[in-house]
Amino acid sequence: MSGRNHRDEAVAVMSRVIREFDDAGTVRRVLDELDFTATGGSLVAITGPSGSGKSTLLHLLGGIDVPNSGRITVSNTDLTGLNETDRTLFRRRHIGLVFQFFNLIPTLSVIDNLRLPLELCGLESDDSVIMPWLERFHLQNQASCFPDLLSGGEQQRVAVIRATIHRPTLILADEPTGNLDESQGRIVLELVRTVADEGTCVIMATHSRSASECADRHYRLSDGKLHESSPD
Amino acid sequence: MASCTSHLPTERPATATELLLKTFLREQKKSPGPFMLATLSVMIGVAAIVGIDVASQSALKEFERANRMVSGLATHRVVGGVSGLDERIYARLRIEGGLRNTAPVIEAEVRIDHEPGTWRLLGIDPLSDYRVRESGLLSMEHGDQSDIPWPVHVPDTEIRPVGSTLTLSSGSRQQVFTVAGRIFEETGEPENDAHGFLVTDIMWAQEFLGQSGRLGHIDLKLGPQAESSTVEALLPSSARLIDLETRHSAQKDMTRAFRTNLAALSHLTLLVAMFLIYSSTAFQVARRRNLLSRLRAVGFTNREIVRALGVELTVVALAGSAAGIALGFLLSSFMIALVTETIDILYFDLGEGSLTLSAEMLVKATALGVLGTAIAGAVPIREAGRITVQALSKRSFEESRVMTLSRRVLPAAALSFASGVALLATGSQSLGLAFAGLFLLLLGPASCTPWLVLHACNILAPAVGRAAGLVAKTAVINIRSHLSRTGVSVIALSLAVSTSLGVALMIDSFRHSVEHWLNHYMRADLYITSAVPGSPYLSDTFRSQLASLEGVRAVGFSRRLSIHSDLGLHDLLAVDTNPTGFRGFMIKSPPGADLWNRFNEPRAVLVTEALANRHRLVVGDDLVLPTLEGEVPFRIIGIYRDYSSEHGLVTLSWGNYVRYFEDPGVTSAGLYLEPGTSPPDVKEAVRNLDSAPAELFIRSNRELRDRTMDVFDRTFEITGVLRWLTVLVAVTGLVFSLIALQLERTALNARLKAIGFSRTQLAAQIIAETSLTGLLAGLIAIPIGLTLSLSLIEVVNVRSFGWTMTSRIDPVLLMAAIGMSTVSAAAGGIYPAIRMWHTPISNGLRDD
Repeated sequence: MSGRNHRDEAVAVMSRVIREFDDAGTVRRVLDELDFTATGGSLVAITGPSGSGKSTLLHLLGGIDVPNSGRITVSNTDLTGLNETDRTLFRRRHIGLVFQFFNLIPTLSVIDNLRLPLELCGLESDDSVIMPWLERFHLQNQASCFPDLLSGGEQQRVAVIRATIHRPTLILADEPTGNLDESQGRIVLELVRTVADEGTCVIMATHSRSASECADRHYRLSDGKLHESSPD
Repeated sequence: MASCTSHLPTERPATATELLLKTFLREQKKSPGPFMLATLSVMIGVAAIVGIDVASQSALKEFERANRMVSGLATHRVVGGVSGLDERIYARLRIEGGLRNTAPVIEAEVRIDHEPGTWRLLGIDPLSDYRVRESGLLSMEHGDQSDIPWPVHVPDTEIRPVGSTLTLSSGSRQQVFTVAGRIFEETGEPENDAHGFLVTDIMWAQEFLGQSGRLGHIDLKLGPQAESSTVEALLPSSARLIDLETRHSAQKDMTRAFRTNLAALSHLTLLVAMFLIYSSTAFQVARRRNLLSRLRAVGFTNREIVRALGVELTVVALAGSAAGIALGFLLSSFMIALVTETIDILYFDLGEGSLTLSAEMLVKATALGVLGTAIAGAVPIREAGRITVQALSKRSFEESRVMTLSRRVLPAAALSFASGVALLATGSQSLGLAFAGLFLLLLGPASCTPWLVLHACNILAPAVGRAAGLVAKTAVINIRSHLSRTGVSVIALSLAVSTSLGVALMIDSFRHSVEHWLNHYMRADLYITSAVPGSPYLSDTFRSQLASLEGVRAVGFSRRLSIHSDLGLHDLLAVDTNPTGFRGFMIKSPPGADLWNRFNEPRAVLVTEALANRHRLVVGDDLVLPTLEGEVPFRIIGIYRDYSSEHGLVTLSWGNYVRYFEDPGVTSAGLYLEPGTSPPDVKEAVRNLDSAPAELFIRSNRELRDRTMDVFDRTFEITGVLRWLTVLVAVTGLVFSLIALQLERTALNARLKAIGFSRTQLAAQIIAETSLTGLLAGLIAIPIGLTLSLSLIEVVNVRSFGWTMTSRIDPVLLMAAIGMSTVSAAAGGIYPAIRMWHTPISNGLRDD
């Protein structure tokens, strides 16, 4: 159901990426000549202490932020060469985002939240396209509910479907289970795992050990660099 | 123990309220929008009231100053017919009546050295005048005048030195006077100076004006009632004793309706401002919901929170009122010219007044500002006091509460509307009741605005979604979803737009009715009046020469003067006309009657509907007028439409006028030309007549109509200023609340950007959302504006001025109201759109 299959292709590539922030006159380097590659069909977990730059890394990959130097390529498109509008148009089509606090649009019902990325991409957005997704993840009864009437787990499942429904090549998930209890977190991780198994590249920033455990590859971000590691 | 206490801080610990205020202050610094909006709203509301108050009071103060200058301490005045009084009456009062406190006065409008502008020349008897002005306002520096021929005293503010000469002219008369001294005000109060006045001995004035043996009037300072009876017994039937206090208050009263209308509009501005104060306070409370819950969790009581918010609101009220008073005073310097001009046109000549801000006005303005703020802010602050620790609530709860509230307010709105209708429908002539009714009539439907917007969005959203997709639908849904933020601003906007529309429709209807009346009334081709100061009359020779001019088919004459009858001050119009000219009167009662023959019968009069409505006169009633023969009853044979005087006009035939009143001449002539005659040629021929006055206004029918419409437009300029001020308050409020709302949605916009919304799409969505809000407010304002216009035409105008008019709905005005509402609301979206454009997504996501 999901994913144009890019299994084993290099979907996200970062080369010598530097990202610095001006913190009250002091320049703080968060990513320091960072190199990284993720392939289609893989679930990558990135861990690290708070403030280590996990969210920054995801924002750079999503075209939300731009590096000070270096190159970022997603699906063979150099994001660093695109302006804001082009990055938005690229993100719209090729990237899905999942946040810790779900970030659903509170004024839209569940089904409309899911319709949004489809419409933005100019894809078919009828109920017949969306309902199977909801049924598959046991949310069909919540289709017309507004987000704040759902539990945290349900909201995050909707958020994952929203990030997936338009079949992007890359899904970026920032602490997707950070705001959920263990059982709800497990359901969301299973969902993320399924998406990756269907050929989509999923990069997940997390503090959760269980989240790391379900990943194919694990990286630890420290001192501005990624170090491949074990789930522990 | 002693050592412990020695370590206690010596500084007094901050109270709970102080701590809360510090917290709020820090928050205000971070996001000052709502605080600024509330302060700005109070400021503009108070400014409108102060501006109108200062302008009206200052204009009237000038009127009172002029009256004091002329009347001094006199309590009564003896007046005669149009040519004044025989001076022997003065002698009789002093000798036979033994009345010492009497002063003869002759008064005329003059020009100095042909300069533009006119002065008032008072001829007084210095030996008797001090008795009625002994401690008063007009004092003279008595130099040795005996050797100076034609002496005149000028105000001490004048730079002309004693001994210099000046040429005074009145009508065709001219005379060189010598400055013999100065007139000044003994109290030294600058507002009581004598600017605009010249004083001379009555003997010189009589000679200069060609009125030897005549007096303009006699001022008297009378004590007990018995003295009035003595005076009345000594007066011939052609003279009357009037109470100056009553006369002055009657003159002031003439302007009452005009001033009440202005005051009502200025108070409406404050009412609109109150909605915005409510809106911004509610916004503050909503934004602080989490903060307040946390403060409650820490241990602050509801009472402490309410107290701190109350202090904050008091600061808003005081700061806004102070700024409003300053702004109002500035505005009044602009408004006084408009108010004075309108009073000049509609009522009586006012000089150029100086602005005065009394302590009473300051107290009133501050009290209204504080009271308005307290009333508007009370409900949101009470809500804040109810916030519980558990209420770290969700927005949807708040929104659903607002949606429920918008529904619950409907019965109150219906009640308000019904009460408004009931108040307007009562037979009372009270203008206060009419305005109370209007406010209720406006408030009712305006309060339904959020409910209507909510349902309009419910209907629109699916349709827009189907037609333009989810992105457009989201814009519609967002309006509905943020009613707790925008609802009250939308009420304020629709209230202001509907008021503006209602007043505009009324003025437009009025304008068209006046145009229609002018077209009907003005039948002559050329109109002639004298432009010579102090000499408004056209001589008999001139009249007969006009009639014999080539190309002139007929001539009509008229004379208009102000009289004081049992109905108070009103105008009297005598017309020497023909059946064609008479058909210009738009007879309303009896309908369709041809009254030409009856008009010329003895003691027959027509009255205007303004006079009839004000005094509830009907055809067949008798009207008692002061004539040469004393008080004589005249029969009302018809009531006609006339917009030339709101305090009423009694019209009678020339025959009746000559029979019962003195005839010093006519004041205007209307020439009916033969077909094919060129009006400019006749104009030239009139000017060349030997008997023509030195200065003459000759206007064609079209010119006079244009001039009248120009005057009409100028009388509504001040109303226009207030209308726009009200709209400005509402638009400012809406713009602020839309900006605040959009800024609050920075995180939401970041999410949408993250999903893939482009900046253009988001900007379009923001502008579409604010425009649609304005469009809905504008659409809702249309029926309210129409109702208001109808009420103004059918009730307020009739009660204020006695005028009726034909209601007219100009679609352009309706479109303009909708356009104004939409464009102003769209403008409210520009800044948030720009800000959204430049805010990096990561910032928004971080804020979240």
